[in-house]
Amino acid sequence: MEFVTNFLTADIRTATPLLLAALGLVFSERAGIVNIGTEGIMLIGALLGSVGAHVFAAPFMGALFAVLGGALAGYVFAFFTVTLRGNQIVVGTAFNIFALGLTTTLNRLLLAGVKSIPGYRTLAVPGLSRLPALGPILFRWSLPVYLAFLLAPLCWFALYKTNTGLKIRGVGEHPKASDTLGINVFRVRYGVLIFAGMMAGLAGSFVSMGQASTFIENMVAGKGFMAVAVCVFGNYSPLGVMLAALLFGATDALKYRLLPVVGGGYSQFLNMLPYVITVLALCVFAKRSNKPAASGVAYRKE
Amino acid sequence: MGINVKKGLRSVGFPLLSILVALFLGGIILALMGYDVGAAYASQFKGAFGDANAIGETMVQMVPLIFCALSYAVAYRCGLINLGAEGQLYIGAILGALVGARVQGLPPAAHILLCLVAGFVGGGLMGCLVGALKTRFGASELITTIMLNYIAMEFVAWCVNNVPFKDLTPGAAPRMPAVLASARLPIILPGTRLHLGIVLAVVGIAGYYFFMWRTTRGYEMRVIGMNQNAGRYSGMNIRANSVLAMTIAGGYAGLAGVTQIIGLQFFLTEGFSNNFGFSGIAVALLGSCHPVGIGVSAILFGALNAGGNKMQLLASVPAASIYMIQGMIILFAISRELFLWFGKGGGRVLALARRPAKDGGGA
Amino acid sequence: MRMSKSGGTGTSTGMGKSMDTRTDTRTGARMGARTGGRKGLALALVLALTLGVFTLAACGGSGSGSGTGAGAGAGAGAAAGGGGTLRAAAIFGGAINDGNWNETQYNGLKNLESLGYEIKYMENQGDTDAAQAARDYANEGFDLVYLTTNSYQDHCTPVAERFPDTMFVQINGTYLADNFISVRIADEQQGFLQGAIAALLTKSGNVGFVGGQEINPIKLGSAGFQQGVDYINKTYGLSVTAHRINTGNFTDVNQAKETAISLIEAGCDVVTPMANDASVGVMEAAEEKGAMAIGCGLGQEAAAPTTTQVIVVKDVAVAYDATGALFAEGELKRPDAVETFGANYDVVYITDWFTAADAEVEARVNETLERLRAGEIEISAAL
Repeated sequence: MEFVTNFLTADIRTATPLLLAALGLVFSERAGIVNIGTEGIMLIGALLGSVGAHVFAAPFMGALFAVLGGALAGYVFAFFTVTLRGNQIVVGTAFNIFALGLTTTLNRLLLAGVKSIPGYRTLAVPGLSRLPALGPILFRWSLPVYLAFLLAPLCWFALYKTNTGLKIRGVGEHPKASDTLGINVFRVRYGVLIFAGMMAGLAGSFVSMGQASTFIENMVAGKGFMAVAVCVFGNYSPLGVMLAALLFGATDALKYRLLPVVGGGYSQFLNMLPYVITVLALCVFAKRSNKPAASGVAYRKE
Repeated sequence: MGINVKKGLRSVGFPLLSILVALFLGGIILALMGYDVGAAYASQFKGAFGDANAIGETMVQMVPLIFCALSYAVAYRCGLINLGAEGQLYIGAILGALVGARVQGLPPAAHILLCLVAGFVGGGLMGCLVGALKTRFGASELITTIMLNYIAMEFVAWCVNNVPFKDLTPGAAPRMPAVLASARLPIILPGTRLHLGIVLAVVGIAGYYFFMWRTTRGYEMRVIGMNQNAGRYSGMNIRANSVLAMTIAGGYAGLAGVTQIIGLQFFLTEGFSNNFGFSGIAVALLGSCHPVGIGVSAILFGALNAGGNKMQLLASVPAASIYMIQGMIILFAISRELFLWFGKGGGRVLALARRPAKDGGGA
Repeated sequence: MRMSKSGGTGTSTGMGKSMDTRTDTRTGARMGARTGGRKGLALALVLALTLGVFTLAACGGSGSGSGTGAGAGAGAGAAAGGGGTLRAAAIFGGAINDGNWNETQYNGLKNLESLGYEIKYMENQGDTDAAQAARDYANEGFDLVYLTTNSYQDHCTPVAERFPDTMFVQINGTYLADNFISVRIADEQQGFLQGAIAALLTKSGNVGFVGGQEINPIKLGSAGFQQGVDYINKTYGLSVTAHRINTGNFTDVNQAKETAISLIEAGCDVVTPMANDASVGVMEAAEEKGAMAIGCGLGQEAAAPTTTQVIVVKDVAVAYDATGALFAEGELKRPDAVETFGANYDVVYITDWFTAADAEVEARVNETLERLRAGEIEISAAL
């Protein structure tokens, strides 16, 4: 029983930043933008979160900084990919290189000598968190974790049951038809990219203030790319993304639990596990993909 | 003719201005951080083109960039996105390093050739796997390539640390054994590190040109890349072409890995690739996936890498600031419409920004 | 200035020709397929022009200042000797603020400033780039070049042969020449002390070690940890089990943390890291799970304020102080064998205890440290 509790809490810890970032990506991907710059935006979020939390000695300010920074990064990404129609893959790559430089520089300017920052505090739900087994799994988390899992159904509702969601999906499937119907393709794409940036920023802040409580250069270490993968193998749907993130978190948690058993020589093969599972999951689920038709293609207004 | 010159000027204008803007913004950042901008850029230039050694360094940097760019370009021409050059490069390097160290008694030419073949095969297998997953299961190559990068890097970590692949020399760092002298590429510019790889890279570009523009297969791939339906209706085999394109793409990336090993590193270590796989994407796209374009933009990126090292070395500019400048240069260099946007103010200009996409034909 | 104008002209001439209408949702691919040739030519021109700009910048640079960057050489003017300032450089494989391996060496390099050296450094350098950097520093006339990672050695020995007037100091190397001196840092002694202290502290009989990327110092540290636990078992008749895992990574804090958590959940009540930046993840895991933590770098107690017991420091700066001072006096000569810097030079030492340790544990730790200092304990440094 304790093993199950430990396993699931590890799963949720690992899944949270992926879920946060991927929920934002669902919207931008559905509107037809491929954003591999998520890695860089998360790194910016991780740094700004630490700076905000350190300067104001309040994790909330860290979250605010991270979200605003993410929004700005999303806006800039939109400017380059939507307005200027730059290749989305290259803009993303450039973003990642730039973000690594920017965050390293700012870290040394603003956080030199800072060894620990106030991270997100655990907010146990009164009463419920004392439940055996279920308590620690469901009700003993910091705010971003609750937020991530509550946002998943909300995002699902927004994407499938609202007019805005319909517009977003339309823009991704057939931008020209959407344009003809009077939908401002550019505005929709700017909107979703800014939202995705905010989510990636928040996800980044969880890496530096939730999983850890300090900023380390290049600490996002591929989680942004994983979020893109989670988005695709969650089939571009908020609920699918939630399951995908939890599946990835589970393979990760499994990996950590097998490490002490397997030990030394073969740890690298255990480290491959989450990536192998992702590839397999893609193969199984790809047939009924929700991938939008205009994915990755810049829109050119006639 | 007159029109072409104008067009030429125009397409020069954008990237040039982009790079200038990036350098200018980079200069502001450097100045804000208290560095001597003049000295920084002077050392950048000195490190890239200052003397024979610097030019050699630039060309050394170009070799893997060209191969990785070709890797991206082959897939791109066939309508596929290959983000897996980094992983393909490593697997190619492993096979190349194995052949280079374990096969004995061959004359240099044969040994080098065998290493190159091994590298191509290693990367090609990775690419082929991606192509097969894509065509058989519909798994997006965008994701599978990224995942395979991680898998490949973990495999490298295993190889350099475990029997039977690791170097057993006492006190050696985790690595694979050194490739034998007969497998090492000769230095072509004495006194520098410039090895034969640059010639191989140019041959690689020529091969890319001949395959894509002078063979039926290449023609089919380009048609499929432009419009899959058109390809399908004219009876082309989309699946076979996709798998082949990914295999060749992987092979090119594998060559990037093996030339780095037998030309420069001699040992395979973890993380020896300086993000070449991803820089190669920018090289390919800045060069419009055109043979000449790739060669020229590789010069630019090679100069950036070589000069960036010198900026750190001579002007004490930290690596982090150099990353920022490089990121901006890539960002601005591909955003050719930035100046139209500035020129006419905001969204209205977008309607005017459409460039005619005729002539210049398929050949 | 002129160049940006010609670009501007290009822009405006472009406007007139762009009224052609065409509908194509796959414009990206099509454009790529068709405009390649022109753009190739265009790029060639761009490059030529860019080079021109660089040249201008270069002229401006040499005209406007001597070109010494900020950030380095702050107190370099005050040279100790009369004739010319000594210049020292270091080439790092990682970041200079990693709180560990590279940071203590960077501090060592900075210490050289007070000896009158002018200093420069490069960070995040791969093996072959490091060799090129070493060549450049030698070419620039640097007197002393530190190579901070043992994987640099094979690429840098040819450089040393070419530049006999520059002295190279290889940290954790094996090679010796008149101008190439290797010093060995006793990584295994740090691990040994971590293991010994952990074995003395544990109540559960299980102690955990989390290493980073599998490079030699980490492997040695990990092996040392095992030997430290074995030594305590043998000396004091205990039966403590050591669990050792390397994550393969120096920057992924969460990976180090989850690994430590899994060790703690598997029964380890003492954990200790050796993973540069990522080490704080292990400390945080201990804090959250209520396990005891033994740090491996100064300042790590901030990540585990209530559970940090003690920190086993490996301060490589000492090796810089020693070699730098000898070199300034002209006394740094090729030794007969590679010298090991460990507890004997206080490269490896233990901080004051952060929590009130059991008197017996503290006495035994001190005893072990003294025996290590005196060279009475044999630790295998085989990989």
